[in-house]
Amino acid sequence: MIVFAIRRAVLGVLVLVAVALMVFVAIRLIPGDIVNQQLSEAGAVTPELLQEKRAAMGLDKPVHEQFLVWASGVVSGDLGSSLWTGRPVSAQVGAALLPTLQLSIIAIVMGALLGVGAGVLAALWRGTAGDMVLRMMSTVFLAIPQLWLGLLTLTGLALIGYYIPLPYRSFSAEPWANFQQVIFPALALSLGVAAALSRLTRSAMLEVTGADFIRAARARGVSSSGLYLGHALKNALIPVITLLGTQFGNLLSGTVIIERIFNIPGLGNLLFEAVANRDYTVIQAAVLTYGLITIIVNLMVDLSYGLVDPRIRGIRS
Amino acid sequence: MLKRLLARYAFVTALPALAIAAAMVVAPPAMAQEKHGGKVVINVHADAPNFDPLASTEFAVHSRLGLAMNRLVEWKTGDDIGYGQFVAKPGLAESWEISEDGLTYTFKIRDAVWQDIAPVSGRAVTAADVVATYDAIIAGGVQKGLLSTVDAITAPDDKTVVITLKRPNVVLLQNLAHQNMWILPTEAFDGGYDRNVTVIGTGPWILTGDEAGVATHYVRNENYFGKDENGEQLPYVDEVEILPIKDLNARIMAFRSGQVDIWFGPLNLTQMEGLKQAVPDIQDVQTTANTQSELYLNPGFEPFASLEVRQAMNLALDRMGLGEVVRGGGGIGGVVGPALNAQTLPEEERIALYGTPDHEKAKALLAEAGYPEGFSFEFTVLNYGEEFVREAEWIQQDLAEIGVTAEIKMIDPVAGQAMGKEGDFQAMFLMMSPFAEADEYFTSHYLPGAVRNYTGINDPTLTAMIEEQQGIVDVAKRQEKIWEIQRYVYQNIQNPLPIWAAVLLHPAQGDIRGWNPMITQGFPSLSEVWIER
Repeated sequence: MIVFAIRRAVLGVLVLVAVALMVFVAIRLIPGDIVNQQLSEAGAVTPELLQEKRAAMGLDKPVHEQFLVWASGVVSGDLGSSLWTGRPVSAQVGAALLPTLQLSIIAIVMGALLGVGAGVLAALWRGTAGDMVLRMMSTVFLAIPQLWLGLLTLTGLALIGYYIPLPYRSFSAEPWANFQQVIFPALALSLGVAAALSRLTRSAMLEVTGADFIRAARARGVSSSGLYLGHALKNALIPVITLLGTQFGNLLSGTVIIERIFNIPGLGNLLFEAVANRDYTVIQAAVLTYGLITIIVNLMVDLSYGLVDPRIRGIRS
Repeated sequence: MLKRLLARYAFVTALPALAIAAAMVVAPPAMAQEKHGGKVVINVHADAPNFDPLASTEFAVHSRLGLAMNRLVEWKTGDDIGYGQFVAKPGLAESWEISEDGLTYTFKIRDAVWQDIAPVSGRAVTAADVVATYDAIIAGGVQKGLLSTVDAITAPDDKTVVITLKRPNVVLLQNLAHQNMWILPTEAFDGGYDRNVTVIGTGPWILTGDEAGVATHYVRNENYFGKDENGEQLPYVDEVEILPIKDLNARIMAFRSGQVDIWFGPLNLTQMEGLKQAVPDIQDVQTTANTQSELYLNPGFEPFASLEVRQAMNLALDRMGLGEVVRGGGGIGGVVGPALNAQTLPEEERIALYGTPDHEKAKALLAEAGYPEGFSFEFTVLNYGEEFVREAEWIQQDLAEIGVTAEIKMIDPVAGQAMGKEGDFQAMFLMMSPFAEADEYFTSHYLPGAVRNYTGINDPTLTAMIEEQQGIVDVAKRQEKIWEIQRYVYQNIQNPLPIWAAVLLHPAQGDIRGWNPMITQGFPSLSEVWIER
């Protein structure tokens, strides 16, 4: 098991290196840079000044030289300074990470509870009107983009006269305000996850409930709830966990838009701003952080298979 | 149709006056009410990257600095001052004298103290602070172009600053009052503190906290030198909070819920109607935008090297229709934007030059230039939002009427500006920077090597005219020269083609009084804003 985990971790590091290189080059291929943006409102800027500022930020050097400088910093734990704010990137990313993690974790938990719950119910109610309603709802929420769902949530709340309090407050500072600020974007993010999970849970449950061991359990007199929750659901969970892992990646990408709509100062908002401002160092650090989170979650998913299914644990051992 | 349009614009122009008149009717007499106290919340749709005024021209920085800092010369504000009208008012200089030859400016520094923040800790403002700030700007500040005519800056004593010029420059006072020209203490330049993160000014409020994505918070500066016309201490409001709400829908919800008192940033008339329904006592303050859309035609692309073709393009465009249908109001563009109503050409003349399409004449000009069947070009459109793109599509359809095919290519603004500077485009449609003086339009668009001279204009006659207007002390004569330059550009340059300046909306909640938005950043009227209870 440990060897398996180490192997996956090494693979994860290689993926991160590839992501870092790709982002570094790709963002520089887009025309325009931070200097253009910093001086965009000015009428009195000379071309010499533009050159001076580029040189001061090292943007006049060849791309490979810039990459080596940045990569050596990253290896030694220094993500550099933001070209836009001049502040250490690690501090900015660190401050933004907490709201994003809070939002993502709440969203994924909500999504998992709603999705698995709806999937189990749909399987139990197979062929009934309830099953049809749940399936229709999952199709609708799969089809709606998170951006639109976010806007719809915001507008819907306003229509009933409820407005999310401003400005953003952390959970440690004002838990109630923070709860109100996070719960609705989390809901907007979770519905897509829930929709995907419910469909998969339903089909996995239906497949498992037809299996011999379920019939045997029923013959032994196991109650319906014990049958579904104790036997069927546990065996149906493996594909659901796999999907949960990939959905977490999708959910993270959704935070970029959702955080902006709900004014949450998270990593998504930071990345959005950084791209608009061509703040290369922040973009690179934010994408690396997203990559790292995704790799860790996938690793956790891989490891969790063994917990759910003893056969897999046995093979890995 | 023209009459109907004019009537419509007259109504739009009259709206601010009507709003002010209405406010005067319903508001109790100023002296009868305690104006001091309370908190005002403003939304600004971006975070301040840092607080170094020398590092960037970013509006999010300078609009925040304006609450805590002062300039040597300030913009006067009030009900009788127009949005784009510069009337000099003493700032940190309590008075000034200009020598007869226009080459020497002598400023007397007022008795003011810095905010009580270490290491400056409330000491008196001196001439040395002013000299240190301007020296640093000239050495490498983003504003250095504003002081390009300065020869020397000296401080003969603690309370006097003398600026001598290489050549007369009548816009110097306005340059010193420019939205980027905040005065800092000497400690900001000798390593005393980090001006990226610490704000020490002399302004009406003290910046007490800034958290990216959350809020910038200010409290009243008890030692601010400003007084109102009755000698009462300014500012009236005890606290100000700026919320960086980046999403438009979130901003609208925040205003509807009363969590924002003063709106700053993009808002269109349709959205304003929605706000009016949700907030019935909203103050509908409207001005013409300090920016305008412009169409750059690169002479490196063969057809656009011809003046006749550029003239034909101009004649193809129905700007008045565009303004009515796409924007629902605003003002027709000019070489100098319409927000500078004292310096742009009179509206009737701008309509005559730019707002009177003639497709037959345009086709004849194209034929004369050797393009009787028209031509196609790549039309790079910077993505400034839905309405801006609709402006581009309107232009595309107008040009099709004279046989010219524009193939729209959308691009983000930063990328577009970079392409503009490289000259890497055939035609480019963009939103101009918010300039506050005709000289800024001229020097940025038409001087060789200038930052907005994307089409490489190098016309010695025009350059001489631009430099000449900078030295004309007589206001009326300078005005004539400014108009003459605009007519010259129309006749001989026709590049970029000015298009349209939209309506700019500055709504405020119904209980806010004394709110007079100005073209310059930093909310100059905010110290006189008060909350009706």
